[in-house]
Formats: sequence, C-alpha cells, structure tokens
Amino acid sequence: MKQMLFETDTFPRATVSLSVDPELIENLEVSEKALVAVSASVDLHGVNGLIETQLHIQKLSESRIMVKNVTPLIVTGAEYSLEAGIEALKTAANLNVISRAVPVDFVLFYEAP
Amino acid sequence: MKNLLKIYALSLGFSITGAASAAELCSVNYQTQSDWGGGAQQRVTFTNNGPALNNWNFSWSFVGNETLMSFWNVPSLSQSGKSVTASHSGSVASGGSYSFDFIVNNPSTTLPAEFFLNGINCKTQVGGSSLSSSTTSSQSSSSVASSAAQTSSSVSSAASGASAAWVLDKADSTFSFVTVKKEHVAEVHRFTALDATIDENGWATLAVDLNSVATNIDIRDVRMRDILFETSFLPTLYYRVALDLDAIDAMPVGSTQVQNLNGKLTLHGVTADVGAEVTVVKTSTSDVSVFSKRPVLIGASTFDLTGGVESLRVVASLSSIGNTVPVYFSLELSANSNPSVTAIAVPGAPAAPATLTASFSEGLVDLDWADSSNNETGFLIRRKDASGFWTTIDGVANNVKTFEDILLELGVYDYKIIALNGSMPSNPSPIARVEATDPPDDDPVLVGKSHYESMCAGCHGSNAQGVANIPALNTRRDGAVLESMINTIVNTMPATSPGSCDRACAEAIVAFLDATYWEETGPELSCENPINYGSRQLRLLTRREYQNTINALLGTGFVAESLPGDELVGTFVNNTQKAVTLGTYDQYLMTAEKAAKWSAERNFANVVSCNNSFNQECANKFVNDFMPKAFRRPLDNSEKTIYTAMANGSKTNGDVKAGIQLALEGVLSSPAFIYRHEIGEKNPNNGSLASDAFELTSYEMATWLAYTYTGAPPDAQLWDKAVNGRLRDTNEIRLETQRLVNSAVFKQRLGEYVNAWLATDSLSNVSKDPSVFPNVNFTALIPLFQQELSLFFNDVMLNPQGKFSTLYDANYTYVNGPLAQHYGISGVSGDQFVKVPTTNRGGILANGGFMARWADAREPSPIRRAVRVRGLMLCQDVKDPPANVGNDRDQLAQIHKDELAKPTTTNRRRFELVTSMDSCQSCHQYIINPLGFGLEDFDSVGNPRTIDSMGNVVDASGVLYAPQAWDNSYANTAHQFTGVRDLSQIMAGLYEAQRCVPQTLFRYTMGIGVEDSWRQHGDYVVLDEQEANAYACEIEDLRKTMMDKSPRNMLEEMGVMDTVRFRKPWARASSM
Repeated sequence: MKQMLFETDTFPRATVSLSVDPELIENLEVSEKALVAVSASVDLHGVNGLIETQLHIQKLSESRIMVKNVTPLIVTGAEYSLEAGIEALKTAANLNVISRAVPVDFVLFYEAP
Repeated sequence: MKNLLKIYALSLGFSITGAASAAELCSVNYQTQSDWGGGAQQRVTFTNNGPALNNWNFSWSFVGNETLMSFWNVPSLSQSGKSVTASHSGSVASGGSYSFDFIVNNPSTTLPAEFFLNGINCKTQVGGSSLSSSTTSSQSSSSVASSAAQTSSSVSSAASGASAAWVLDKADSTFSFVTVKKEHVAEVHRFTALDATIDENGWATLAVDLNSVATNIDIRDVRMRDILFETSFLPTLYYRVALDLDAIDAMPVGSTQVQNLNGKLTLHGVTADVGAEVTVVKTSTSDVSVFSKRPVLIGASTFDLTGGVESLRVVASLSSIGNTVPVYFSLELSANSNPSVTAIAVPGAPAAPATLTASFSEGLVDLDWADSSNNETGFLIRRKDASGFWTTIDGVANNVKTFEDILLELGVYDYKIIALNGSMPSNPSPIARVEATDPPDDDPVLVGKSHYESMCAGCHGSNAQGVANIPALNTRRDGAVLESMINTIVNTMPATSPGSCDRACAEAIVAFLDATYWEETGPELSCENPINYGSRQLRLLTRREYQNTINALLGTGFVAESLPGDELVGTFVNNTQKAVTLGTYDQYLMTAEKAAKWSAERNFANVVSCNNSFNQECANKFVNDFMPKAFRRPLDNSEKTIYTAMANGSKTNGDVKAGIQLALEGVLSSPAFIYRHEIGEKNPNNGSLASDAFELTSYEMATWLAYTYTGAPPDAQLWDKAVNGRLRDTNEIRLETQRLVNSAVFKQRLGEYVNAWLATDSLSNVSKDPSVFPNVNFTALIPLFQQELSLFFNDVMLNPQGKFSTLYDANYTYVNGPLAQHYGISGVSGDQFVKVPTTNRGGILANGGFMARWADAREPSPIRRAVRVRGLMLCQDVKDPPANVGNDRDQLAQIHKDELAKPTTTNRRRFELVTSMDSCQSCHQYIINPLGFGLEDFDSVGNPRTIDSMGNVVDASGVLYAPQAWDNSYANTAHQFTGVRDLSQIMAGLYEAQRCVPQTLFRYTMGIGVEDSWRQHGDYVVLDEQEANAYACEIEDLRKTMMDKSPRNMLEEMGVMDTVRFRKPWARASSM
C-alpha cells in the first residue's frame, strides 16, 4: 500500500484541512456538542480534493475536543489518482477486483496547548 | 406486593438458613415481581456457593404451562418444553450472586423448586460442615414455605422490565453501513430507528428496526426490507453485549477508553458471535458516547443474507454487490434517572426444531418438523439450491409443523427450519436434503408464485403492493386488461431482462396473482346449486311504467296523473312489495276509465283500427289483437268470452264503440295489466329444473326484458319473439339484451339509474348559502350535475372497453360551458356537453353532484357523505342513529358552545365535537367520522378546496375502516387516504365496491335485494336463506362478468340470469 498505492516516497503525508469557527468551539459548554457542515480540503497523493461532510464537534473538557464524522465518507480512487495504484495492487495480490471506492471514518481528539 | 422468597430446600421439607445454605452449591431466590393473571414478571437470583464460575448455565423446569416471553439481564434464556436454561459467558465469584428477569405467559401458582447450575443440582453439597446438621426437618417452616409458594395471582401491577441504567439518545445516534455495487460504487445507508439500553447489570442491548433502512432511494429501501432483511418476518436486529459498568462509571469526564466487545448479533434469523472494537468517551458525568473504533465487518453468508444479496443484484441488474459490509455506529447514551424507563426486553430464543424430514414427489416437497418450542411466534422455512445460497421460502404460524414447497428446477435442495419468537431465532433445525428428480405437475398458481418471487417481487414488492411508481399488482384487474397484462409481461418483463418470461410463465404469474391477491374477500357463498332460483312474483307497474305502457298501447297524449305513489326502497323506486289495496284500486279504476274515454274520443287510434265502423269484427280485433299486448300474454278462453261479451256491445245496448271503451276500461284496471307477471310455468322438458320450479314463458321474458331495459312494454321485436316462443333460449335472450343495451332509451335509463343510485336525482332537496357561494346559481347547476353523471356513467357502462375501476378513478368528466365555468375548467363553452380530461375530479365519487348532494348549505356534511359512501357504494347496511341522539347532540352543542362558535373551528372539528359522546362514538369513531373527514377537500357545491368557508385550512386526512362489514373487525382493515380523489383510488380496487355495483343493479332489476332483509315501511322482509344465497351467487357471477369482461357485458348478461328465467315460490317472512 505504501509503495504502490500511496507512493509514500513521493507523497509521505496526506493532509485534511478545514476551518471551524473558533467561537463555535469556545462557546461550547463542556460536554456540549455541535453538528457542523464543513468543506474540507484534502491533499492526498499529490491531488487536492474537496470533501463536503458533516461533523460532530464535542467539547470533552475545557482543553479537549472531539471531532467525528457522522456517517462514513466515500472516497474514490479516481479523485486522487489512485486508480493505477489499485490496479497494481490487484495484480500484485492476484485479486479479481479491488473496489476503487473506499469508505473512510475518523475521530480526532484535539487538546488545547 | 408479593415478594416470595423461595429457597429450593424448603420445598423438600428442609429448613436451611443462613450459613447452612452455604453448604449447598447454590441458593435460589425465585420471585414473582408482579402477576397480572395471564402473565407474570419473575426474577431469579442465585448465589454461587461453589467455586468461581465462568461461562455458566442455570436451569430449572416450569411447574405449569408457562411460556417464556422475554427476558433481560442475561444474554440467553431459552425454553424447551418445560425446561428453561439461562446461560452466560461471564463470571460469578464464589459467594457471588446473579439476578435476571423474565416474563412468562400462563404463570403457574406453583413456582419451580429444583434448580441446576452447570447441570448440577443446586442442593448438591459442596463441603460445608454444617450440612449434615441441617437436615433436621422442621415441619412448621416447611409448611409455611409451601403455602407461601402457592401464591395467588391477585397482584395486578403491570409488567415492567428491569430499569435501564443508560438509555440511548436517539436523535444523536447513528447506525450506518456501506455497500459496494458494481465493484466500485460505494454507498452509505442508515437505519433511522434505533434503540439501545444498558441495564443495571451492564447488559447492553441495541435494537434496530430494519424497516427504517434509509438508502436515499425509495425502491432500494423497499427491496432491502423485502428481499434482503425480509422484515415482514424479521423486523428487528439485536446486538447484546456485556459492558463493564463500573469501569465506565469510574472514567473521568472527557476521557476515552477502548473496549473490545464480544457480543451476539441477531440478524435475519441467525444469532452469531460478533466482536466490536469500540471507543467509549465519557462526555459528561451522565453521558457516554460509544462508537465503532473500526468498522464491524458483517459477512452476508454468516447471516443467510447471500441469497438476498444475489436477488438484489439480479433485480437491480448490477454486475456485483459486495458480500461483506462494514458497519459504523455511534451511540450516545445518557444515564437514566427515570425508574419507569426499562431496559429493552429481548424475546427469548425458542428451542430449535429437533427434527426435520423432507420427502419429494412430482415436483413437490413435503416438510415435517418437530415443534420443540412453546414460545415461538412462527417458523421460517429456508432452502438452499445449487447456487449455495439459503433463501427464505416462506414463514408459517406458530405450532405449524408442515410445509409444502414446489421445485421447478431439478437438482439437490437442502432445507432448514428456524423457530422464531418475534425476530429472535432458534438455532436452525437439522438440515434435510431432497433431490428433485421430476418436474411438478403444472399447477400454474404454484409455478406462478415461484416465478413471481424470482422475477417480479423485486420491483412490485413481495406482497405485490407496488413500490414508488411501480404499480401494485394486488388488486383485481378488469378482464379486458388481463390479456394485455400477459402480453406486457411476455414482451417487456422483467424490466431487467425482457423476454425471459414466456407466455406460459406470464400466464402462471397472472394465475398466481389472481389466486393470491385477487381472491374474493366477500361472504362465503355456496354456489354449488345448478340453478339459482328467483322468486315467482307480481310487480305492480310504477307510475312511470304505467305511463309508458299507456303511451305504447293508446298513443301519447293521455297523462295518468291520479295513480297512487310509488314505493321507494333505498334510493330507487321499487314496487315489488307493493300491492293494490281497496283504497288504491279506485285510483286505478278512475285512471282506466279516463284513459278508455280518452282513447274512445280518438276512435281507439293505436288500439284497434276499425275505420270508424265499430262492428263485431272490430270487437274481435280488440280482443284478439290488442288485449294480448295489454296483458302481455295470450288470453285464456274465459277471458276471451268475458271481454268479447263486453266489446261486442252486448252490455252497452249494442253500442260496439261503447263496448270497446268498457272492455278497455276493464283491461286497464285488470291485474293482468297493472302487474308485471313473473310467475312461469312448469317445464317438463327441462330436466335440470327442480320439481317445484317454474320457468318464465317467452311472454314473461319479453315483459321482463322490456321493462328492465326500456321501462316500457315489449316492442315489436320482443313481442314477435314472445309470440314465436323464442325467449326461452339463452342465445335468443342474449341477442335481445345486446340489442336493448344499444338503444337510446337504455342510455337514458342508465342516466336516470346513476342519479337514483347516488340520490343526485333529488339534488333539489338541498340548497346552498348564497353568502358563502355568491357566484353560484345552484338551482341552475342541478340538471348539469345530473347530466354529467349520466354521460359519465353511460361512458363507463356501455363502452365495450369500459372498466369498473374507471367508475372511481376516472381522469375525465363531461361538462358544458356553465358547468365548466363552475368547475374552473377552461376552454368549454355552450350548452353542449363535452368530455374533458381532469386531474382533481372524476368518477362517481369525486364529482359535483354527489359532493353537493351530501353537503349542507355552507360546509360539507362528513356524516352524510360517509354514510352514503358506505350505504350506496359499499352496500353496507348503515344503522340509524340511536333514538336519543338528538338530546346528546344538544347537550354536546351546549358543552362545546364556545368552541363551536369560534370561526377558527373547522368543520371537521365541529363534527368531532358534536359526536364526541359515547352513544355516538360506537359508530362515529371508526365507521363514520374518519371516512367523512377524509372527504373534506370537496366543498358544498362540488369543487375541490384547501380552505374552508371560514378561511381555515382543510385537513382531509381520513381512514376507511372495514369496507367489508359493519362489525367489530374494523381495526383489521384500515385504508388511509387524504381527500376524495385518494379515496376514489382505494374504492377502485375494493372488492366491496365492485360487488356493490351488481348488487345495486340486481335490486333495481329484480326488485329484491340480496340482503336478507331490507327496509320497507319500517318493516323487514326476510328472505328464505336459500333464496338469499341464490341471489348472492348471481350477484357474484355478475361481478365476475363485470371484472373479467366489462360492465357492458354484465348489463347484457343480466337478462340470462337464472334468477330471471327460473323461479320458485319462495316463502317470505315479514317481521317488524
């Protein structure tokens, strides 16, 4: 996967960045949560993409928040020039097929410095 | 509150308390928490006096006929016969206790006495030193315990499950899964109805209503429910797992913990171990969030879902659908402080059917299995064919132990049976294998069922109910379209691979639909008799018929104005039960006298042609030529003698003209003239006729046909056939009915008929408030409403391609300029009626006349509309309101006078208020109000509306309960609808609405109702049971003719009905 699919020699990092209104987080009480619609820009495999989704942001303590997607995101190989890599993986693993669509699910915890 | 301490040893006559009990393997506290007669909630607590337990089971036997219904606080509790076993993979420390709860039906007054832990009797000694000393019997405490054990069931508090320690925040929780189709297309789906609780012991239960699957595509939702999850049998998914509550309680707020859960997933008739790695976040002191740390992978084959996935693939024409599905969940749980909120009660798993045998013969497989459980709600039958997929063939009710399957393809098949308690399955039965070595007899229904399930159900629904814009197939199709339905299937179906269902296949599918969904739901009829006999009867001419007869015999111009009034039965004129009395005979005599005088003044023009020479020959012509037409039969010899003696002038001083006038007066007042005769004669040549039966003569048949189809005496052609004795032949009669149905006068009669049926012929009985309808000249509209109905009804009933359903769901009507203007239809002017397409009106329900007829001056009358829909269109006998209803209504009006006076109170609400008393509710609650309220979207002058006369928004949501009968089964059938057009769509598919069409026509033509009684003068004429049955059979035949062929064909076939041609002297009772 590292070599054929993600080509980590060339593209060691994927970044997802999105902006969240800092006031929104500040105004959350501890244990309160908010549902926010976001547009995240994704830099993966040398391709910049955009993902529109909904996130739950919950304040777990004064210095800790949890960010979680609501339902899985579907990422397709074509969006990030990953198709050739998938083909190569398929051949290497001697499989009939590898789906070019992948569901992605995440939860992130952020600590205030 | 009964709280029975039941230490097993007491029932054995031992008194063992305190430390002594520790000497035994386990001590047991079996309590009835509450008992409500038919069921009880019980709790078992055992204390483990042996070594620490891991992976234990605990069992006992019920004393009576208890049936385990549900349980909680333990992962598994199953019943087999009287034996009950709880099992748990967790631990119980030495000296520790464990409690669990359950609900039983049929609780016994005696509680179980003997318990086993891991198969070892609880009273087994485990080395306590005091054991030997404890065997001292204490009779007194024993008897106390025994009597306490014989508990009564007087406690009546309702059942409640264990309190839930944590409950789900449903709005914020999600449960999703991703499917991949065509290898590279992934889609996220959700279930929207989740419930989850964690009970006090840490048992977490997730229950997902599989019907709530939401995929963003309606038809896919339906297919997933129907084909994949099979929610009609298996609506709920359960996941049960033990959580460490103490650990969760101990978590600091804001902290995170990962737990590996090993739970049991119950899905699609299979319970299997499923692990889940979850993240637990303590989001506040009273909230936790539990979500999948990584997706849980569910393999279709584990849960017998592979066959369903393959069926989905075929019906959706996909190249592939993935068989492993990642599931994502995020559950938000809150600590529960409300003790009445209980943990989810999971139904107990039934014991698996212990045996299964399958035997094959000529395409059919007979399955027999052992019913080893007594808490099952039904059984699933699963089959595996060469594809290797298990598919559910069918489900059967509890206690059923056999099933017959049909195998269309040769090969080897495996079967298994799963007992179900709700969605909770047993383990599968042993597998039974058959080899299909020869094909089935070609029973088209069974073959069609198999074809339907494999080719049609994916789009049209597993119950042919239709999906989204794909039509339902579960209502009877008119005969005219059956052939085209078969052709459509052959040429275009299944849509994913047209041509794969040949003609035999298509015919089998139609046969299956016919037998399964178009089945007659009407009364059980026994129509085995070779002939359905009508009643020998005389029918007094109606005023209209009398006038038409006079016109035909004497020529037009004389108006018979002083005849007695007609009888009205239902909404139709019907003189069948009416007779001439001494009082009314004078009126007939006087009318005859005037008519004879009137004719004489015209020298008997039309009657007899004497060229003004009134001689003997003329008198003979009167008797021989005229009189048979007036009597509608040949004269017998004595009649000839009597009338000749009158006509020839011998009673009028030789004045032949005066004699003919006298004879004519006699003829027109004679019973032979003023009654229609349906008496018949014996026919020894007809061997199938019963010995006490009579066959109508050709003359009587001519009379019946003439008055029925034209309202007048026989015309020349009918008379000619009567004279030549040709109307005892079915084909000859049919030729006549076909001719008469085509006549102009019949069209007019049909128009009058439909207006009489719907009582729109008396539209002038209602008036409309000009302040509400300032621009409506209602009086001028009345004949236009009537003409609209007449033209529409003619169109449906006489068009050779006409269909019953059009009577209700028509998308067209007939209007002229003024009516079009009233309806807001543009582009029509002048007085000529034209056919126009419509979207918001059409049919005999959604039209101006009917809606206006059953409405008040300002607002509709939901009550009268509902009663007429039931009475006139569904042929239900709607009872009169109770005698004291006026008082109650006045009282209610007084109670609610403030609300009734408010302009914001809708018409619907007003009627709700004035029928809210118990005395009203027995009829209004289900039978009247929900039906009438659904018709509120048509105003009082027959136009669709969204706002009522006060400016309030109209709520036209309604329910048609119990179209089939006026009884207490109304809850069984409920058709929800919104508005008149919506109800029309329902009516178009209702058996009862179909049947009511010939039933009403039958009464109209025969003068007798199929009902065993009907109202007349407040009196009921009660038909002989056989007579009523004969009529019901005839009506059913007519209905089938209407549906399988056409309404027109039904009209034509009425003349050859047995009940018309063959008669018996049925006995009638008259009861007050």
